[in-house]
Amino acid sequence: MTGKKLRAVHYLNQFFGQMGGEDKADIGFMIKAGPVGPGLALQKALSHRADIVITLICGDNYFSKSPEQAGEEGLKLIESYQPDLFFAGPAFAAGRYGIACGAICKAVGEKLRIPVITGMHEENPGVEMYRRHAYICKTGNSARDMAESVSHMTSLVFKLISGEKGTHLVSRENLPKPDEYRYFPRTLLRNEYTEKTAAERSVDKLLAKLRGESFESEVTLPKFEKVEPPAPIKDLHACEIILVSDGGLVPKGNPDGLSGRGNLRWTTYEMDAFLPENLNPDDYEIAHTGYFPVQVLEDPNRLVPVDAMRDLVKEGRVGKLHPTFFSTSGNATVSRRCAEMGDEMGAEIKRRNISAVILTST
Amino acid sequence: MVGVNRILRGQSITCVIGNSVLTKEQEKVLRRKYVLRALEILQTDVTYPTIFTLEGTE
Amino acid sequence: MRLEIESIDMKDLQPGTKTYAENHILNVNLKELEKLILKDSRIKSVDIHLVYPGDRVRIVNLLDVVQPRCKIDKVEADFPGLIGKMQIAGSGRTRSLRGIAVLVSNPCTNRKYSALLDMSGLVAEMSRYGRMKHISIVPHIADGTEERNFEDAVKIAGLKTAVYLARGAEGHPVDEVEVYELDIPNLNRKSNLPRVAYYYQLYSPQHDHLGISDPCFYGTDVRNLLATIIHPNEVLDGGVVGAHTIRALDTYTIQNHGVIKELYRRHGKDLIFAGVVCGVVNMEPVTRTRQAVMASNLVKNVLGADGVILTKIHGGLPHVDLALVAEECEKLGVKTAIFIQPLISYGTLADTLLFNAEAVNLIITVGATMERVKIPLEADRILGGTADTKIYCPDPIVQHAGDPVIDVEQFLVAGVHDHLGSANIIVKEY
Repeated sequence: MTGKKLRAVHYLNQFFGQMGGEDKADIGFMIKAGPVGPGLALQKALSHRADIVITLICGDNYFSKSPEQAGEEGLKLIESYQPDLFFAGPAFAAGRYGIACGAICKAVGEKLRIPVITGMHEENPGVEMYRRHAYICKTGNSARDMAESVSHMTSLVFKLISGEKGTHLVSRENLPKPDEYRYFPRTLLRNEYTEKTAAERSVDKLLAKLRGESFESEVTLPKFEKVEPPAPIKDLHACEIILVSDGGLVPKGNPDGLSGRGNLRWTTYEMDAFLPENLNPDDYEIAHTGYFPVQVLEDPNRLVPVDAMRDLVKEGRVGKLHPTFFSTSGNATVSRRCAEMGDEMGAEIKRRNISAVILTST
Repeated sequence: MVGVNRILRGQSITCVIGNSVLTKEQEKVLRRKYVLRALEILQTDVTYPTIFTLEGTE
Repeated sequence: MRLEIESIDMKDLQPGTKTYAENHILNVNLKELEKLILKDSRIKSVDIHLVYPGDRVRIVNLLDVVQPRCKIDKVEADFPGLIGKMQIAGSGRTRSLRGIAVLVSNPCTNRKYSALLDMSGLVAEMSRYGRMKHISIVPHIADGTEERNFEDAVKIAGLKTAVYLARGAEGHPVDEVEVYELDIPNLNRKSNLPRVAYYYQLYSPQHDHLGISDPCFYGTDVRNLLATIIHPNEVLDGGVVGAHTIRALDTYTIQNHGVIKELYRRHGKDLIFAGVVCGVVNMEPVTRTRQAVMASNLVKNVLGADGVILTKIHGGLPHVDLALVAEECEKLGVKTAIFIQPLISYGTLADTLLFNAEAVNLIITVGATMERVKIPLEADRILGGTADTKIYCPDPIVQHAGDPVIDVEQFLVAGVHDHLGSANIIVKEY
């Protein structure tokens, strides 16, 4: 791998690509020759090993409308430049930019089978979504971190193109250690050689556990957050209940654009208009590709039990049914975003002084 | 259960509160049962995540 | 019980007119060994080869690897119950030859998971056996012998070969003596050191070939074993042998049991080795619970342990079963360290757990034994089978020993992983 000068392509958003700020977030793809903006620092770090032949630029809004499609579009534009390496961002904490970097890396990596490297802050939603498709270096949450991030990205790429054998792995693959090269693990598991045998480690750690000292388990149990159960409702008659669902129930045409997979948004619909007493099943759509929607589309009450609730209110068994329905789609949405949406819904529900939630989920 | 404390097991993935083998009338009766159970659970004290069924708990 | 293992380092292995050891070279009368093996009427003929590191040879259909060992101060006492007379293993003096092993192949095996070993190339680099010299024995079945019966014959032939080689080194100066002494009834109960026991999951009946269990405990199968207390020396000295498939656990690794040796090493220094409870995997929840409750009771209330290390055999159900034993131990206040192997190569480590009990929070990854590796052929000849011998791979790949490249799960390569903890491997997220 030494000697041959490699060809690199760099992806930037409208801001770092020096086209403008938020006002230019809707621009489509364009290509500039050579490195641009932070690409200059990247080129300096790459030195004689690689040339950034072009910079691909796109507006964050344009890209995030449909990341998969945009990724393919960007790929088509750069294919003919025959890159050996591909860089994107770094995007730091910027969500739309992070998703764009991840998506373009995925498209390029899958088709061209070259190293694809970007950089993000751990809270960037692009991390969970794209960590398995690209090398995402860990960065700070703002461009103050640019120099260090660029330096990490280049160290990582030099390791990847070194052609060395990974002597630290049983498989001998040249996979850089995530801790050493500061990137988010790409959801791979590998056998790594260690100094101590499993027997030695087990005794060391068990003795620490017995002494009440801290020990490092080699697998951390998934942590399920303990949430204090709210106190039970005392009087149903004084109670206002809201119906919520993550089954993706939306009006036909899906006007609010909930995604069938990896959805990131939630919406509200007024019950009287959206789920009237004599509802027409043809007026609905299911924005959720994780289950077979036929039965729910025959009768949406099977997902959102409006008819039963209304009857019980009429009979005086429950105080009130809240007139708004909260809808979202929970199919392969990263759990962090799910929790955020829950927080957002919860805040709104509290603001409206609603006593309880019945949430239906497929 | 990832932070949720009161869970009521529904009918099935594709038909959470209903059952397509029943008649419309029977389904309404079943759905009413589910909602009443849900309301009951909202009035029940729990100290840790609990999965309820129409009849009792798991 | 006091066991002394007298080890001799063998630097070379040669055929000779007599079986003896001199200047750290073991000379073997292959004809005499052949005669010994053929005493078993279930065996029609046997191929015996000496193989060395660097040889362009691949050995397939392996059902065991055995370290040459024999009792010095007792007769008919080797692998008691299986070869020798029934008696408790683990006391007196045992000779052990280092640097040499017996590779035992069953050329007519129908088992899916037979192991392989190459003496050059990637495998020789990866496997601890790639650095040793070996006697490969490949017995052939006598007409009219039933399949399972023959497997036992092959197994025993391997063990007898190991004994024969060790006997042959009689009189040679000893390089190291290891003493394994643990007087369990009189363990210092006043010591402040924590008492650590070991739970040894011996076997699972899931893969019983043709529905018959392999004899691995004093010559009997352990299919219905209830939790049992044994002395660790019994494991080291031939009371326990490997099953008829290796899957990262052969007789050699049992003879050199990683966890037992480590607990012995630290006994009296920072812990008291409280003893060993062994058990097996159960297929039904009811029997699994019974076994877990009984095992934890022995650990806590009979051995009086403060902590326990638990190991398993290959597989997912063994994982579930072992976790239940650990859970029961934790319920009784015994702190656990449990060995697992991730069975997949993607996801997070937490994804690979088949249990979720908060108290079982010290988990050791002994290795991802099903990680795949591509092995280019570096052999000009194949022992134990032929170029057409099937090498297992999950559907839809079908491959053979003579293919230019084979794609195998690492547990099928003898000597890479070790469920008993002596390998320097950990599983990390990448």
